[in-house]
Amino acid sequence: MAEVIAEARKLSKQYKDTKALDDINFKLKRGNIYGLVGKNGAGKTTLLRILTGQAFQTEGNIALFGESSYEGLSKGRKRIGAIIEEPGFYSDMTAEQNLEYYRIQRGIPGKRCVQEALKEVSLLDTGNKKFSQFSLGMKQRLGLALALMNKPEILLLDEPINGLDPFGIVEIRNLLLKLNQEKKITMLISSHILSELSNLVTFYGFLDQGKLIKQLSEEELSAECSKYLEVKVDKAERLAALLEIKLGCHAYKVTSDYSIHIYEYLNQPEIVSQMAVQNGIGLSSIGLKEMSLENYFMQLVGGNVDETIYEK
Amino acid sequence: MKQYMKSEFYRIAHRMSTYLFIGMCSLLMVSSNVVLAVVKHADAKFPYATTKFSISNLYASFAVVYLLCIAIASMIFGNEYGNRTMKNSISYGISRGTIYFGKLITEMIYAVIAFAAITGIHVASACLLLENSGAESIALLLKTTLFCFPLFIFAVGASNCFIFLFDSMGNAIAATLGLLLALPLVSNMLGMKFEVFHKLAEILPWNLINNMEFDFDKLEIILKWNERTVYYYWMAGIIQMVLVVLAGYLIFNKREIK
Repeated sequence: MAEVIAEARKLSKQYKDTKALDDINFKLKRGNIYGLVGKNGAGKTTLLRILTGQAFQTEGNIALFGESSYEGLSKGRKRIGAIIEEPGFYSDMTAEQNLEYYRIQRGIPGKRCVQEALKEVSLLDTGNKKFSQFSLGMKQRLGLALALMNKPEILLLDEPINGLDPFGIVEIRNLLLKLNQEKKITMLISSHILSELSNLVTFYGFLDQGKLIKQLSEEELSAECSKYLEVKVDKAERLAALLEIKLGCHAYKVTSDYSIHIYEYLNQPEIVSQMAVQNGIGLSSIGLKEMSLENYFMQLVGGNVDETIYEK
Repeated sequence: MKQYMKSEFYRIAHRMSTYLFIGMCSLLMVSSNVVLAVVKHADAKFPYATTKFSISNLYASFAVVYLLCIAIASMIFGNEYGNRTMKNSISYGISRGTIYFGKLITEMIYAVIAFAAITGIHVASACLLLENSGAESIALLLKTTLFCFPLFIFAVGASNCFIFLFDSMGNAIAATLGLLLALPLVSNMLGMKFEVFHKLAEILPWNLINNMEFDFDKLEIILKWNERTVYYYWMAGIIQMVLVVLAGYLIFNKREIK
């Protein structure tokens, strides 16, 4: 069983009238890449800020490497690298000077680690360019360099591919995969660019309005995002009853008054359509669809599902 | 704490403003001596081209030095909130106490170095360019510094406190000026009517600095409130500094960092 290296127990955070986090329970196991998925304002950054000590919980507690005391968390944070929101550096210093500042502050011996960190993120050739002159992508990469400099065991990354161009996104993704596979770095990555997460993570947590509404592994998610027949009728509940009575089918989900998803009879849609018509149910369409990660998430949080892309 | 302060010294050593501040202040002081020397050259009877006059300008202007402590603190603080850099230290497990007191000590050390450098350059240029009036002026400068040093330290501590508490440097400076300048002036006015404000006014650092007058002939400090000895100045400065620094730390310790 993989070691639990970061944990939140009954974690809540209240800001005046808003509950930013509501009774969050999760465990980050060593070796995993945990994807924290949620809309803007769902609480992803708040959770990361509490883990890094920038913010304080209202209720519950957190643990890093099994320690939840103040001293234990302080020690644990020295084994973590983090990028929370946009990377912050001194605008009038160069990339090397900024990293050197933090190297000294963190007591990391040997100046080589600065060069190595810059090389890892392809920022070795920035020379005397000040941080204020960096592009967004360069700033993001410098943030990653700082997070990697102390050779962390956990990386906490808050929307790490924000502002990157497609090449930059591929570069960062490949780097993160390499770090996980070669250096066994565990990661907690928050994002709302779901398609990019699907290329990276091994475990998902879906956050909405401060609540962790679902947690599942990549395999479980693949099973849930399976193909289905989308049937649009005038009486979805009646069709659901008929599916159970006439066809013995229980693998379905009524998504609205006029729509139902059926996870069986995928190759025999005519059986479903005939049954509907014969029982006086108005049928407007029937088609095979595949649930995308975005659609799965939108269904989880009750948003509008994008039906145009994947219809077959 | 040691590592944090080492990193702070690295940072301020690599910033232009660190040297610019000392350079500009020194230039200002040297230029005043140059002007005196030039005028003396043009008019042989000009009586003020002396080290006594030049140095007296400095110690008689310690109220300006007091206010410059605000500039020093804000400069050394490094715009942590604007740059959003503090989270990098916090997320590595560096405590808020280390950050708060680390910055404070760095600001104080820089303030002492800057003061010594600027004063030294001023006195040296005066000695080089002007008529030497003797060492008594330098002795009075040192004595005045002894009186005012704890008040300068208080000014740095108060500035540090407000800079940590406000996101905006402008608001922090305004709040600091409120404590360092506005409160004493208001206390002075109200002190004319109400005894409690009069008592308060007597212990506030700005008023303590302005309490000092100088007999330029005898080269002596005259204290308007003549029961205020140098020990009183130190007690007032240190106690008020401890109070304001502690209050700032206790509030900052609960502050969430963006």
